[in-house]
Parts: sequence; structure tokens; C-alpha cells
Amino acid sequence: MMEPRHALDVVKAVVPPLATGVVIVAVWAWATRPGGLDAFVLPSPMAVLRALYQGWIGGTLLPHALATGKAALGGLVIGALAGLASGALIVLIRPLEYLMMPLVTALQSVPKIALAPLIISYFGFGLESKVFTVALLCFFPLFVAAATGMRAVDPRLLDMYRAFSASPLHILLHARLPAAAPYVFGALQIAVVLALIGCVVSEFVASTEGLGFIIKSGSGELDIAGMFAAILSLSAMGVAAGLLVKEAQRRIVFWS
Amino acid sequence: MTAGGMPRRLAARIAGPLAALGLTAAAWMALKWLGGFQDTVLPGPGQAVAALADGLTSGAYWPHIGSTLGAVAIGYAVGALIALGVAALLAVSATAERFLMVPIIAFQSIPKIALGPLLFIWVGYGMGASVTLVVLACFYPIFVNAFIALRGVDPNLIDLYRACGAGRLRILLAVRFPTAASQIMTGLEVAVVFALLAAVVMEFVSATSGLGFLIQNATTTLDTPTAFAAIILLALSGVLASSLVRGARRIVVFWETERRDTHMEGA
Repeated sequence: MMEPRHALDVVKAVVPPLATGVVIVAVWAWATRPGGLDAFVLPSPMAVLRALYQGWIGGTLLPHALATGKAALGGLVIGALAGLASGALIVLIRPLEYLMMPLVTALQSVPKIALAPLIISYFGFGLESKVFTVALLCFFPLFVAAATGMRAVDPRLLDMYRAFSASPLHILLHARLPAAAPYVFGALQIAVVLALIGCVVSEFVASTEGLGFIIKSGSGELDIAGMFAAILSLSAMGVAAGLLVKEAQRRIVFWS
Repeated sequence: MTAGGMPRRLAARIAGPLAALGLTAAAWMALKWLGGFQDTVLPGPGQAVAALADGLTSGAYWPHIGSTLGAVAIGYAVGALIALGVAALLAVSATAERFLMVPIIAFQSIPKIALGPLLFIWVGYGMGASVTLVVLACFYPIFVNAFIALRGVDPNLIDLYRACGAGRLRILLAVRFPTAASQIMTGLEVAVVFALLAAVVMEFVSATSGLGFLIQNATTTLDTPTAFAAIILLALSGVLASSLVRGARRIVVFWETERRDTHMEGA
């Protein structure tokens, strides 16, 4: 059904969603026409485009997007590495697993984001709080992925490595890590979204810069078009980061 | 499954979390002792539990618990109904899928949590905004799991029903939903976490009550034991809500429990 063999199939695939989009924008433009909904309630599509243009070409949003991106990336790297290392550790040292696993499964259903205000009271308004919050959020999916993935390795392969008297470290790097790679990338895909969310929530709670700060302060100043622009930029960053992870997966885990 | 196996399995299931709890408390105390933290920075687990007991017996926490869990429950129920309805519509009608699938995926790319301050302007203070954000946050995980599962039904089975004269609705209710039930429950499990997260974030942004509000308020007044008590309550709510949904799964998809148990033991 999804093979666009004929031009007609392409039209069938492209036109309907486009039509929906046009209808949504048309209704939106109509509702926000002069004399329609107040711009404090819903800005017109043009006003949002203007705010986006202002923000990215005029450069008002750019430093905030960079601040959010920097904190999200920093936290993601720290949290992901810590998660991977801990996951590898409990695979290597069996008893640790019995201690850690119940704790981790319990923590999975706990909203870790609730710690954001406390983290800010420890580390202040700046980059450190955001990085810490993001790292905390990103730790868990990678920990679970590393632990499950490294155990999903073919036992016969492990036997072979052992038969050739490979060291545990050698087995970890050459047999377990490649086996875990697809799991790890799946978790990274989730972690990328969590990183942006964690960053934004931290900025909601208290901050002086970042897209979350713009969204929050926009609600105070009733700059709704600015809020829309910031939310759209955030979404675009999330999509771009997700595509980057997918591309990296395609190149690194080329065999799956 | 022998008669003697049940209590032992139950004991194993309880012992793990208990050990984890003890370990957490021990690590917590060690951290406080090693770091030499003051009580306003990091209270001991005893102080947090004392604050918790105090708040519960004096009744100070109950309204907060009520408004958070209320928003979660209502938003989750509404979000699940909408998501299941949309998923059923798109699974049954190829036309609806063509028109709506791409916009839904585009909407999914917006981090819902970021809409908090916007909802505050549109809906205002109070539970309404929390419920709305919970609905938005729950929608996609439930929708996507339900849609994939409702679509992935064995076409031969559908053909059989069709050959016997069953209509679309009959096929949806008698074939698609039962076959998809397991994966739908998976989506519902994932969404619980998102629901709680959304409620807490909305309370950070604007609320005047709720556990998220309690955490933020206690942190700014340096009443750290209360903040930790509220976090413990949130953690308990999260575990409780998740196990409720998992329990519901065992009832709804009763024919799968056997397999799941063996699977969990094998893991």
C-alpha cells in the first residue's frame, strides 16, 4: 500500500495530510482574524511566523536555544555514560544485579522530574542544575538498555570467547557491547526527548535563560506568539536530535 | 506451579523491593553522614518519614495528594478514551488514517510538557490545566500502541468474520480489540508514568495545590523534610499506579498471565 509506484500513489499519500494541515491553518487564521480571538489568547499564524523569524534571524531566540541545547547535551552525555557503565557493571558482577534491579524497576515508575526544585536548591539557577536533572532522567533508560542488551548476547559466542581465554573486559568490549548496541540506540532515542523535557522543566522551575525560560516568561508577559515560537523551536530540536541518533545508529549498528 | 511454589515466589517478590528500600535508606544516611549535610539541605530518612507521618496524620497533605491523583486519574481516563477512540477510527478507516496520521505524528514531536505555561494561560489556575496536560501527555503512547495492535490483526481472521457477514463494528469489538488487548495494556502502562510527570510539571508551573506544588513550595521555604516527604508520596503514587495498571492487565488479558510469569522468571 505504501509503495508509491505510480504518481497517483504519491498524490494519495501526500494530499490528504496536506489537506488536513491546510484546514487546520485556515481555521486558525480565520479564528485569529482581526476582530476574532484576542492575540493574548491565540496569536495568528502570521504572528507566530514573525516571532519565529524574529527569534532565529533576528537572533533573540538563538542564545536561549543554545543554552537549552548545551545543558541537554551535557546532561545526556553524562547520564548516558553513567547508565551504560552501571548497566555493564551489573552484568559483570551478578550480586549487584539483585540489589539494583528492584530499585531501578521501582524508580522507573517514579517521576524523577519531581526532584527538579531540590536540584535547583542544591546547584543554583545555572547550567549545573539543568545538566544534573537531565543526567538523572537519561540515566535510567540507558542503564536498562545496557543491562538487557549485554545479556542478550548469544551464549555460544560467549563460550567461544571464553574457550579462547578472552578476558572479561575483552568479552565486554567485543561481544557484549555490539550485542547491546541496538538496545542502547533505542534507549538513546528516548533519552534525547527526556533530555529536552528535563531541561525545559528545570527552566520552568527557576532559570534566567533557555527555551523553557522563554516559554515561562512568555506566559507572564502574555507574549503568546513568542511562546509558540519557542515551543516550535524546541520541537524542531527534538526532531533533529532524534534524526541524528537514527543516522548514527544506521552507521554504527550497520548490521541490524 | 506447585502449591509450595506460590509462597516462596511471593516472598521473593517482596524481599527484592524491601532490600532495595533498605539499601536506599542506608545509602541516603551514608550520603548525609559522609557529606556532613545540614538538615535544611539533606534531611535524614527518619526526618522525612517523620514529616510524612506528621503531614498525613494532621491532614495537611491529603488535599495535595487528592488534587494530584485526581488530576492524574481524570486526565488519564479521558486521554485513554480519546486515544483508543482515535486509534480505533484510524485502524478501521484507511481514509481517516490518510488524513490524520501525519498530523498526529507532527503533534507528537511537540514535547507536551513544554505546553504547561500555555495551558496555564488558556485554562487558568487549578485542576483543569493539570487534567488537560495529563490528557495530552497520555495520548500518544496509548494511541500508537493501540493503533499498531488494532492494525496488526491476522487478516485471515478478519476475512473469516467478513465472510460470515460481520460488519466493521462487530469486527472491531469481537476481533480487533481482543487481539490488541495485550499491547493496548502496554501503552496504558507507559502512559501512567507520563500522566504523573505531566501533573507534577503543571503543578510546578502554576498550581496552588498538589504534590508538585508542595515540593516546590517546601524547597523555597527550606522546609526540606516536607519536600522529601512529598517526593516519597509521589514515588509511592507512581509505584501504586503502575502496579494498578499491571493488575488490570492481569484481569483484562487473563489468558496471558501464565506466559508472562514464566517469562519474568526466565529473565
